[in-house]
Amino acid sequence: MIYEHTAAIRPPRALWVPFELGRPLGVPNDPAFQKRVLTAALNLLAEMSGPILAEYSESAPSYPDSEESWVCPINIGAQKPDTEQADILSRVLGEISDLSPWLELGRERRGRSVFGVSQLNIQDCTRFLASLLTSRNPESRAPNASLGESLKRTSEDLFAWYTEAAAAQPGALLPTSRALENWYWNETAAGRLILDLARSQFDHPDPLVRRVIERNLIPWTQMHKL
Amino acid sequence: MIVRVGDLADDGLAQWVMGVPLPEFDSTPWVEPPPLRSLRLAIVTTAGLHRRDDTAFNVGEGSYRVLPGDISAQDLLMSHISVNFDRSGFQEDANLVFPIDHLRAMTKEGSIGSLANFHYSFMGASDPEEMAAPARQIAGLLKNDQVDAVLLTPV
Repeated sequence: MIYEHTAAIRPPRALWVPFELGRPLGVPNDPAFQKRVLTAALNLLAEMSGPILAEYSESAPSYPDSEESWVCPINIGAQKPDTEQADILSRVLGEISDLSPWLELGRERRGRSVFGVSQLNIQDCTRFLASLLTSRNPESRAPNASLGESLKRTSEDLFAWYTEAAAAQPGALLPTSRALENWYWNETAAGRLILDLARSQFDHPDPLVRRVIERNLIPWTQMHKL
Repeated sequence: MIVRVGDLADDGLAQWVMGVPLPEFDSTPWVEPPPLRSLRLAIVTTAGLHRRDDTAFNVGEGSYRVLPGDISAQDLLMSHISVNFDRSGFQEDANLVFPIDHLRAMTKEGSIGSLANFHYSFMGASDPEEMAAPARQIAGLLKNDQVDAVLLTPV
């Protein structure tokens, strides 16, 4: 996955690509571009000696204005400090209600959804996460999951739900990954909920909960908010 | 498919990446496979993919999930523990990470010989030592499936 690691490990055949992490074939919804990358990788199988660390030179198409021009389909107001943590739950549920039409539109367009790792519906995901603000051991966990596993899976589902809805605006440029990330963590009550949860439970007695909060809940680029 | 440390958006992440201990191998195995048009190919990904009804990956887990050869993109979820890579691309288009539709098309047009009966996914943010035994198991399964080559798609 990382050039320097690959150079050190020396697998038989590897293709370096100039794409962001999470996008090994470059660009969503661009099959021609993806096939060019795929073909370049598969063509390495014809090489007669190795190890090979080849470099793919074609950059992904860039849309320099997309981050600035992208707007969330609904107007989610700037975060306001809440005096009572219960307000966070109401705000997130309100955002979910407002975003639901866009979520359905997006699912219809894509024909699929990546929501569901927790096996809870979005409202129960939210209630579980909100309950962790004030309880060390909430009962409403994900099925067949420990507290730490539930925390990870429900937070994943919350992010997936929001970003699927936000990226559903028809006819518009898809938001960049950074635009979506910044929107979620800066402008939504859901992002605020997760940040508050991390602050309140960083010293949780469950080691997996602490591990998830420390490393697997909030991206590096947003950790400064804690 | 891989990126450079210098391309990572965050210095903290870049520093962490460069500090990751790497496995050591005595040699690089080398095989000359059949021509692509005769070759049987499998996908192995470390993207933490699984079927909707499968158990999600957990922190530190070294085991894999089976992705049947006839799997539909609609049935794919991602439960990778890292939050430091883009998920929105996969949300939008599963082939960005798991190019099964492209490979099916290439097989149909004769560019690739055939696709494996099963593909596999690990969750890459685990200790390689935890993945070693499952990986050897998959190697045996791939041999039984007469697979000639593996396309590895990391995230």
